[in-house]
Amino acid sequence: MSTVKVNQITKRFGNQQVVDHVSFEVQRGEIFGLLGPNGAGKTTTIRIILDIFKPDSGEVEVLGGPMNEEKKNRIGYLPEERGLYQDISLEVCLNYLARLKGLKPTEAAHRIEQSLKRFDLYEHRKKKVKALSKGMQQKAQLIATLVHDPELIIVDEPFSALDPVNTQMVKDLLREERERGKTIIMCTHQMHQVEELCDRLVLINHGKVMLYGDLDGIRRRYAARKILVCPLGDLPADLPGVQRIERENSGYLLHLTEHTHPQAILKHLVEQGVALERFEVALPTLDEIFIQIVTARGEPL
Amino acid sequence: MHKTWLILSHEALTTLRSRSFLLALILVPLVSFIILLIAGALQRRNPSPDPITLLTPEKPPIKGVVDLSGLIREIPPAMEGQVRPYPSPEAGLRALQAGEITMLYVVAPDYLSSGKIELYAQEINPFQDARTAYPVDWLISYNLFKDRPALFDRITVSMNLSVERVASEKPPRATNETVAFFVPYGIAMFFYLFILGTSSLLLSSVNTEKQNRVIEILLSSATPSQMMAGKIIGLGLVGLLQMTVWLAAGLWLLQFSSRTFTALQGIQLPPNLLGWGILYFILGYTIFAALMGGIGALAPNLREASQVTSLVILPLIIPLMFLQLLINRPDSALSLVLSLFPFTSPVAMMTRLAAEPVPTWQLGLGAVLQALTAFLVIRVVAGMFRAQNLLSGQPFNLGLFFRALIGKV
Repeated sequence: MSTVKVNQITKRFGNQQVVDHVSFEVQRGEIFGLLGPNGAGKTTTIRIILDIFKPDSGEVEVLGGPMNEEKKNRIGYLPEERGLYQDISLEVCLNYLARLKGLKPTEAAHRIEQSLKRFDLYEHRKKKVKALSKGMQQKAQLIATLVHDPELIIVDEPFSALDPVNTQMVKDLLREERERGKTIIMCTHQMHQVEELCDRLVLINHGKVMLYGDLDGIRRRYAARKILVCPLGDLPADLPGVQRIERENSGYLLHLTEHTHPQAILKHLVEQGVALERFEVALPTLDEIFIQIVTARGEPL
Repeated sequence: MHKTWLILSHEALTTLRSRSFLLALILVPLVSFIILLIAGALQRRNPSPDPITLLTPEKPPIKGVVDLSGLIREIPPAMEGQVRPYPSPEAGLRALQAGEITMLYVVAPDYLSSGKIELYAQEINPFQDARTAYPVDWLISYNLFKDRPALFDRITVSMNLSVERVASEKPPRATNETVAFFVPYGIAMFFYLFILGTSSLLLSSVNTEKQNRVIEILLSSATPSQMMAGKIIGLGLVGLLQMTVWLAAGLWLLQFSSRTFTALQGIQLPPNLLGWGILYFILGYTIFAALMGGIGALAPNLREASQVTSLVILPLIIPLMFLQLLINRPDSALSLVLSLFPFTSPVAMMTRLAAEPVPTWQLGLGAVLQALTAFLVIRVVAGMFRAQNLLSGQPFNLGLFFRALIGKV
């Protein structure tokens, strides 16, 4: 059963069509990438899923049906524009946000204490939020997102303004939550982060879906006819079916002719007695795929 | 309902715990208590029935008089410290320029037929000095009628008007006219400040959440209508608490101070002022808080909100511009209109009630009209209090606010 099912949603602000018949499904227990450049309509889509905005048309099912008050308590949301009450203590702030997610007072207090200890913020719990460093506030924001143990976690640009240490911490946290069976939607324009973390993705540009599916399948679908080869010695001068050879780091990037299969090249190299350290089909990055699609459709980047 | 309650209690407790609120709650009655204590002590040394005397110089300034009519032949010893005669206008003007006197009156030779008196002064208060020639007119009367003391008294002492109401529920007004003015004046300022101050808390609260960017997290947990209801009720309760504390402290201070401070003796507040006051505060607060909430939802920051805020609070200020009328002629048509028009009603009606008893039907009608207006305003503002507006950073101006009021945004 899908945790989230988005079906042909549209949203217009004034003259601008921000979301244009977007559809996708998010499966339980996966990290799903909602991908696209800035202004693509990702955040609006997220807000429609969360019932913050109503779609002009289309439907959204969350956790098995339309959104309701009870389901809001089963969702954790980390918005792109981070924010906490600045003039109250960290403990009071987190307690209020946890209570709004349906936790009972004693349970909220207990979980917040545990989370503060885990994120090394326990000593700072009585300080006003504005007295905390930016990194501490980022951690506090993560606590507010996860403290009620949500089934669905939606994180919008989770790595923006994070230093490398905190970036790694967030990545580990997201993987850990996936291991615990939680469903995660990660909304970002940083495509390399999606490549690293996500199982499946949808790529949106100008409000329209451009790519949708599992990451490996998409990369294979858009793989150019290129092979990355790292021989122990030199490559033979003549390789049938290869148009061009480029030197790349410690290996070579072979550009194949239209009807040449990578297996034919591998067979030829083995027959020639070339010892290989590495032989792999060169898969395109999501950045390359995005540019490839946009260019092919003649759309502005 | 549960989330509305959570938002309500959060708003109330956060405000109650803030240092500025606690200081205001405690310090205002405390400072008033200290001021009254000092004023009482001063008064015991210099007893006076009129509080105005505490604010004016102890010795009245000396005025000069040149009598060209020859009517002022004698200045009684009691007046010698207040008025000084000069033989000619030139001598009087020299004394005026030298600062020996504050003003100079020149009585025309044909005063008895023309009534003409010329006034010379370095500084003239057009509202006070130009309307009276005291003590010169008193001296003329004294010299004309000193041989007939009864007639002199009748002329110089104001009439002893006795008013008796027939089948009236109204108690007699305070005999001290100054007190009779200052009590309704204080009540008007009290309601103006409370409704404005408490409803402004809502604007500040919404704006803080927008500035802190916590609003999107709240919107993922609660609906805009839950947020609006929770905030209006929560902050209203805080305002009500503050009002009750200050009102109770004020009443106690009146009781306490009237024992030590005779100037405040005779102050009587209508017994129904507290009940109607609380109801009118709740209704007035709801109307203005909802409007402030609407402004908060639309404006990206307080600076951009200020232009529209000043227009919205204008109806609260209008009764203050007509205070004299509301206090001295509370039964006039304009006083009635101001006290029934829902946006001016909270301040105007309470001012009237403090000045003179108001018929119950008028109090009831004013409350009903305000309740209907509050209902309509909340419905209109609920349309503004939408996620799209709360998350938008669009520039805010009067046009946008009015378009939003008619549902075009």
